[in-house]
Amino acid sequence: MVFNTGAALLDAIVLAVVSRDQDGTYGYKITQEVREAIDISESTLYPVLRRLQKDECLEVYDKEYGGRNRRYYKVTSKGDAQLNLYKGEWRQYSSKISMILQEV
Amino acid sequence: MNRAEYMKELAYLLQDVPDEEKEEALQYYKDYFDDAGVENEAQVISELGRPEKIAAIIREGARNGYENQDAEYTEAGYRNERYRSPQYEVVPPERCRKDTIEDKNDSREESSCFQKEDYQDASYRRMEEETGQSEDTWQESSRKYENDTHHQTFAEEGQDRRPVRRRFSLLMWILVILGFLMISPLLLGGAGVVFGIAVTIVVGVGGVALAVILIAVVLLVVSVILIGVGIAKLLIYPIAGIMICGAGLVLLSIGMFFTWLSVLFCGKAVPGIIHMIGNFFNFLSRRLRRGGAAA
Repeated sequence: MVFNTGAALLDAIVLAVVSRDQDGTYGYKITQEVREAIDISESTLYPVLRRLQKDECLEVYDKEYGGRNRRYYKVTSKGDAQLNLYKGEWRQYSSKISMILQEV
Repeated sequence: MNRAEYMKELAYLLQDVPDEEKEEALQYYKDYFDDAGVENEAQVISELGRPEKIAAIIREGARNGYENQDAEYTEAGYRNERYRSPQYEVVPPERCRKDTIEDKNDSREESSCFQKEDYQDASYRRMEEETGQSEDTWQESSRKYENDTHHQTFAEEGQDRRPVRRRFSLLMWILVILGFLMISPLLLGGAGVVFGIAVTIVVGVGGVALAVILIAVVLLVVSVILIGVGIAKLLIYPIAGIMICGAGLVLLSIGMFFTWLSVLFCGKAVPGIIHMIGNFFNFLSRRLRRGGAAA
């Protein structure tokens, strides 16, 4: 709750959440799942999704559901690569911080 | 506010955003509401925050491709360091929980804490100042919707817009000068007419005065001559002499009448005309002075 989630970390979290589903998932569900991990505004997610889409880490497609078209987001191969990069970075970053915090 | 009003307001606020981005955003939030379900509608509205905030985020994102390096998505919302005001300090979500708790049954209460300083997007803050509403009152009003059967319309909330300041800008001055230039031929024409009338009056009166004086002088001279001749003739041709004297006396009287007229003119009318002209010039100069002071 105390620490800010930077843009990069947020991207990583969103990519991770979306990659849970092989066929991707939709905006509302992504938001709910992300909010299980961190406490962010529901209005924050849209810019993240748009950015990832523009960076070609996510792709969108529409699927019919309950009589309307629902927009789904799916991780691309580039997104996969990016996610792996983020995972590696996080491992290093978080372990360094943990080390410093445990020293005291 | 209900979902329909919220979306309508959002669509209205996004008018200046390019169509593609606008449609994408509106579609996303429409889907979001649909997926949340009717039962969560009020909650979604409460947690999304004001339509102005959403619109500001989308507008900023459309402008820079959502690649905003200055922005941070904190737990408490969107924060942009570049626009942060030094007057506000960050209030951790812990404290705000105590402030905004109204509905103890709301299981999501810990997530919906938006402080003023979190939405530092310049356009959103401007909007906030204009409408005089804060995020806190938004939370209250959204919650009220859950409990009330009739809900506020967004029109009521936005009533207290402060009037736009008026300034005498350079543009206004350019317009004034152009207008004056356009009207100036008319003004010049009018001035010419007035001048012509004045000249006519002066010359006319002067001319009449002159004529009267001349007539008087001529008549007096002629009458004196005639009387002289008559008296002379009187000695030789008495009747003719009397006639001539008589004519001379008649002319004398007429001449005296004209003399009186000319005295009247020169004594009263001419000074009167000059006085009138003087008054007119005074009036003009006063008008110009007053006009100058007002501009």
